[in-house]
Amino acid sequence: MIQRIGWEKLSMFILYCLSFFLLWEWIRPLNAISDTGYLHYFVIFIGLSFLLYFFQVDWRISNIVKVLFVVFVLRSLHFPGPLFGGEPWISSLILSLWDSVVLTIEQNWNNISNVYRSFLFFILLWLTTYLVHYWIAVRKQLFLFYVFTIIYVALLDTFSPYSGDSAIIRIIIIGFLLMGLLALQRIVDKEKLQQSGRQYRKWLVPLVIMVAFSSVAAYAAPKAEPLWPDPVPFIQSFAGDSGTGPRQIGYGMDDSALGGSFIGDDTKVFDVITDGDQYWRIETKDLYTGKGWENSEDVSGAGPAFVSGDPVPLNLSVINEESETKTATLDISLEYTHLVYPYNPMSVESDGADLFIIDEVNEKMTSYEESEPTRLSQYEWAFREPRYSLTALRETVGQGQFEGTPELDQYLQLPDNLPDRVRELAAQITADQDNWYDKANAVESYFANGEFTYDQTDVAVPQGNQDYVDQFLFETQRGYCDNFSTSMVVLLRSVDIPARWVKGYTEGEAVRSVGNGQTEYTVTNNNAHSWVEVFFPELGWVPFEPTIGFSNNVSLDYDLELETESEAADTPEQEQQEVEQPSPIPEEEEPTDSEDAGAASSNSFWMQLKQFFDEQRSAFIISGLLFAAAGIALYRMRLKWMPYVLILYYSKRNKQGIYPKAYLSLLKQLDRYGLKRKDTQTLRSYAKEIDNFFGSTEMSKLTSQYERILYRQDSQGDDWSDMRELWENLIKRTTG
Amino acid sequence: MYHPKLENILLNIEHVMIGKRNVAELSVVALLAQGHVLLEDVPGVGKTMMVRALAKSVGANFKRIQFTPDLLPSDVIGVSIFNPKELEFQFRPGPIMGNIILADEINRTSPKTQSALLEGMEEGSITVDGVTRTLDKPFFVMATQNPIEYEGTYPLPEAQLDRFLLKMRMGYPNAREEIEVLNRLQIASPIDQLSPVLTLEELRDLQREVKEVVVDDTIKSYIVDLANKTRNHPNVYLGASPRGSIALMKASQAYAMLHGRDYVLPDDVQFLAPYIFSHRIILKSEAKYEGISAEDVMERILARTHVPVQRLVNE
Repeated sequence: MIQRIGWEKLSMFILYCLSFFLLWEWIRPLNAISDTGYLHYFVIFIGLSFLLYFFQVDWRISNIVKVLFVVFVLRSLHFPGPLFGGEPWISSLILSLWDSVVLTIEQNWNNISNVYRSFLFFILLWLTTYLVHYWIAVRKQLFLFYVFTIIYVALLDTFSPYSGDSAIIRIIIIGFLLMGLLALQRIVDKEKLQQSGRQYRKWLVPLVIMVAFSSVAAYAAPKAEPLWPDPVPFIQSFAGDSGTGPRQIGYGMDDSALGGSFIGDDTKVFDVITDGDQYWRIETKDLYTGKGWENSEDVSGAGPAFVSGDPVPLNLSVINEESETKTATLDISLEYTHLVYPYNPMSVESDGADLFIIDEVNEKMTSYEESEPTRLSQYEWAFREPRYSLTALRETVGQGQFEGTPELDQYLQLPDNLPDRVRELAAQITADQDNWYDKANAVESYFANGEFTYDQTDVAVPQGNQDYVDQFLFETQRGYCDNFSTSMVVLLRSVDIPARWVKGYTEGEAVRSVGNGQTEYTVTNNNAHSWVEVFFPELGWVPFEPTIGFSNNVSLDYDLELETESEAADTPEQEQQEVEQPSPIPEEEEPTDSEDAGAASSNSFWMQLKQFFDEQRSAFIISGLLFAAAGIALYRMRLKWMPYVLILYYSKRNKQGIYPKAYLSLLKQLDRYGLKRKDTQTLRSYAKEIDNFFGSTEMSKLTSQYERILYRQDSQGDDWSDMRELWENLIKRTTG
Repeated sequence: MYHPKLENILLNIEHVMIGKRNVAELSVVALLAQGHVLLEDVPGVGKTMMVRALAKSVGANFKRIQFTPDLLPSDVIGVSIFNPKELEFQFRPGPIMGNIILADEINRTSPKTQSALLEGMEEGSITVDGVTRTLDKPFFVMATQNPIEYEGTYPLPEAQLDRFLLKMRMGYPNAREEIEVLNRLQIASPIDQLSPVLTLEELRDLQREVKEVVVDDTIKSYIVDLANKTRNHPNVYLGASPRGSIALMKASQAYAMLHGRDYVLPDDVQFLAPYIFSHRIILKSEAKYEGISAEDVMERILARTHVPVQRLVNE
């Protein structure tokens, strides 16, 4: 008896060990295919779980042990520091998990914390180990899991950089040993055999020899060449070409390869209360590579510095004296070390930083606290609204026109391989205009000629030597702000007008009016934007907005007293119209739908959900209709497929009391077939009818069996192995 | 599919009665269920022949009583006569003291004589001069009444009709069958060639076995359902009594046994219900004027009662 228990224990131990190794094979590739680290913790967790199952530890204790282990691992991975004292890591752990739960509900996948991901992975492993335990200890069948393991490794080996050569050998050996042992256990259970060492030896020795022999033979044997070439390089090259799939909209640093589609993102960046509705600047870029934007000089972060309350040493442009001073109070949700700032900033007030530095290369403004870049949650701008004198704008007709113009070559840079047709187009657009402002305006309006479409999703990526601007202007004519702004810069530079590319946010979505003429705006990642600045020697950098459907609120003063006779045609009214709607917007609806509507809703989950349904209404209706149609079709076709379902269902069942059920489903199927039994008809006379109809005798036989069960309470008739064939024959007839 | 022994009785009856399988079956059913049969038919269709064949098949003592208006109870049950030799009254048993009795034209005699017979049928015993005498078993009465002659008849009261397990008609044979009848009777009556296929002892055993035939609850509820419907039917003045339900169950058991089964099917109930219930329900006069018969009513009820085909509650 003791020996028997010993053998039972030993075999269970081997089973758990083998399952542990099998499950390990699922963890191994994670290093190669994802950025999951610290895999050994997860492997230890699996081992621990199986150990607890093996010793049949009470579930309460084993759950506590596992939870403690998970907490311990999460702490040591994500909250380094002393266990007691120091930071209260437990509360931050719980807080972090809770935040991520909220983010999950909001479908904000990008901001989910690593702690939460590790936590979820532990839960998954917990479930998996339980399942495997159930399979080997209770069901004593593991085939499905084994097949899935092989498929998993095979797929990864084929379609990912992970090499499963040795993994597949390990899995084969482990799997066959596992299933061989489980088969023995099943036989022992079924035949109620005495477990003994002799038996195990009798079973195990051939099993091990067979597995060893076959795996060695398989390893040594020559292998057939793969049927198709390795797809991994192709996948990698494909992935490399298009970036990494669709990009998430929002502020990012790298603009060296533009193009591709965007996914909208409603994550709030900041709330602002202001009396203006201007764009928010972050940085500029001046070097166009043919694929995207870079800076011509290295960005060092060095530049003029200032402190809170001081005048901002950034002079973008000369603005009209009439321009009003305005304020903006920003409440930042997505904190960066850089500041967003309006045009013509005068001063900034913030408690969190003791120094601000404006990078001299890209005009990016960074906040510092004790010489370390710091993230501000709140700051307040004083700035002057951008107002420009139209007369002054129009005075500029060419470079070198004015004394002391700074060096502008970097803003006239164009890639050497820029196709000539871009230059030709630029010349053609601006041919009728003589000054820079009108030329810039002509280019700006060119995008509103109806040939261009605003689109975030179906946007091409330039391939090979193709130029990003050339592709947009002449081939796709479909894109979003980056396409429009980059194209405008390149077109302007082609006609020797200095221009650069600016990144930042649009004014956002007006949420409510807070009084005093001030309005609260919410700026989300969807409002990330890029536009154009043109340099006018007398004035400085003046923003332009080529993207159709957008408008930058730049005010122009018309200097009416300076109007000359020759410009009489440009009546102020006309000009007004032209200027206030810099982009006559034929396709205004579209970007409004896709971009601004995204920001329109508040951030609450329900609003998002509602909006999602609103946006996808047609898709929902169509798919709903399709489902309904498929459902109806399936329902109407049920006569054809139902018998096979029933046969499948009943073929596996041989329990007590299953025959009456089978018989009643046969009655139902016959009813569907059109041979309905009247409620007042006896089974026997109905069976006669059916047999007459089909020219068979099966129904009568089946019926008399059923009658015995029902009216005689005859349970021995439950064994319907001899009836099954009749039943299947008859039910198949109904499909004809 | 018939019970082997009982099938022989049917074959015997069919030997003399061409094409009357239904009637033969019903008679055997009544015999097995220890009930009595009321045969409503015109004279000359072979009632006597059938009863005699039945009696001969089971080796039973066959008696026939021809009821007339002037028949007295003592003519039925017997009479005590003074025996001068032994100086005491001696009982001379009447025709009721047999196993199988044909009571011909029962509605022709006075109620007093009728009730003498009916009491015997009900009690299984008779009382003469204060002495109760038990009747032989099996005791099976097949009473006939003539449906066309109402002149000078004493119709049986409803309470007494209830004593008959079932009521049936023979009907005329069809032309082919009638030719066959003529053929068989041309030389000699085939009744003489019949020999018993069952002893009385065996018959009594079978009568006991009938009670063992399984009647599932679903069947019982079906029977009760039918009986209930006769009580609530708009054309019916008085529906079938619980005694009617019992009769239907017993007859169904016998019918099941006749068909070689030890459990009752709804088919048995359906087949027997008109024969069992028709004479137990009293139609409203309006229905009678409209020409609706009790058989029609039963047909309609059967066409409206759901047959139980599965357990109502899963145990």
